[in-house]
Amino acid sequence: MTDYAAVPFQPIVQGVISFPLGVAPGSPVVFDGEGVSGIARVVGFPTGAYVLNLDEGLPGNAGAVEPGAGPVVNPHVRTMITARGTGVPPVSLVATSAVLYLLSPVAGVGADQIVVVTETFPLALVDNPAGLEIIVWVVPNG
Amino acid sequence: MADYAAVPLQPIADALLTINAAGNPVITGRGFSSVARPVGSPIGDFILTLDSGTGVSDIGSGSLVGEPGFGFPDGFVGPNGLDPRFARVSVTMRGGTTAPGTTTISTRIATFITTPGSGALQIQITLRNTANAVTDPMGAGVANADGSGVEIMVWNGNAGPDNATAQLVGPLFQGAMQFP
Repeated sequence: MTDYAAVPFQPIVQGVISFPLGVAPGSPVVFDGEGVSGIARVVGFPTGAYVLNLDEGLPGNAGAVEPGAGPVVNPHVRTMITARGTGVPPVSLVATSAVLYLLSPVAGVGADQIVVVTETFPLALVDNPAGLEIIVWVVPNG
Repeated sequence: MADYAAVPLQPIADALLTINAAGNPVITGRGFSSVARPVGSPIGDFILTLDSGTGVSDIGSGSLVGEPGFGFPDGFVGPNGLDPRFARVSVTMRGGTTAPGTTTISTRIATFITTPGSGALQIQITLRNTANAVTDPMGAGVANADGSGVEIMVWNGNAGPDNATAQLVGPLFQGAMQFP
């Protein structure tokens, strides 16, 4: 195929966030996939906000993507979030979705956690019953 | 792992689009040469221009029969236009200042802007909030309740024939023009 000016994207996370016991506030949340060593609800938010711990990386790049600078936490990573549907025809409860990258308190490590947030309409945090697909890439913008 | 029917999908651009202190859009990333607001559209609407491609490797991209305005004439060298039928775009909001990092932007639209004979050289990204009002992905130089920027990724898919319309003649895996 045509050789466009290629940009390497390195996939580091792929998986599905789901709720095996349903979407009651504070119910368990599970990540099935690769690249994440743990998932939990964000403390103080029983619905619609999840923190994912990235797998540890290779020596010298331990468990994080590069630290960023400026008004945005990290320019070196990109994420795609897709809500899965339920019912016929399938619907999701998600009206907005967003991602944040949390810096490790260890200087120089970079972002070692990802926060995924979903809201319904009218705007309110919500767990999507059918779950969320997530893919994360590192991009070499340094 | 399982060997699925693999699909070539070539990553060609990524950007983190933010707003600087002067209120102008800025991109961090690769594959885009510039970003600007469209004339007459002062908020929530951005035109990103793709980098020109590598000249030699663009030879023979081939025009698309019956599709005026898309693809290259045979043997034409760059610029690096995309065929919108094969390009894929991901647009993801970064969370804003409302804990735990929400955004008000619900609609994220990617529109290809094509140039006859070259294909799509630009991509227009439009963001709207839940009230359907065009909205910037952050404030001027700072995150706000709408977000802290928007991530954009672009891939180019297989520019060959669509497998779904290929003429296949059995037995399995025997091509239509294959002889014993």
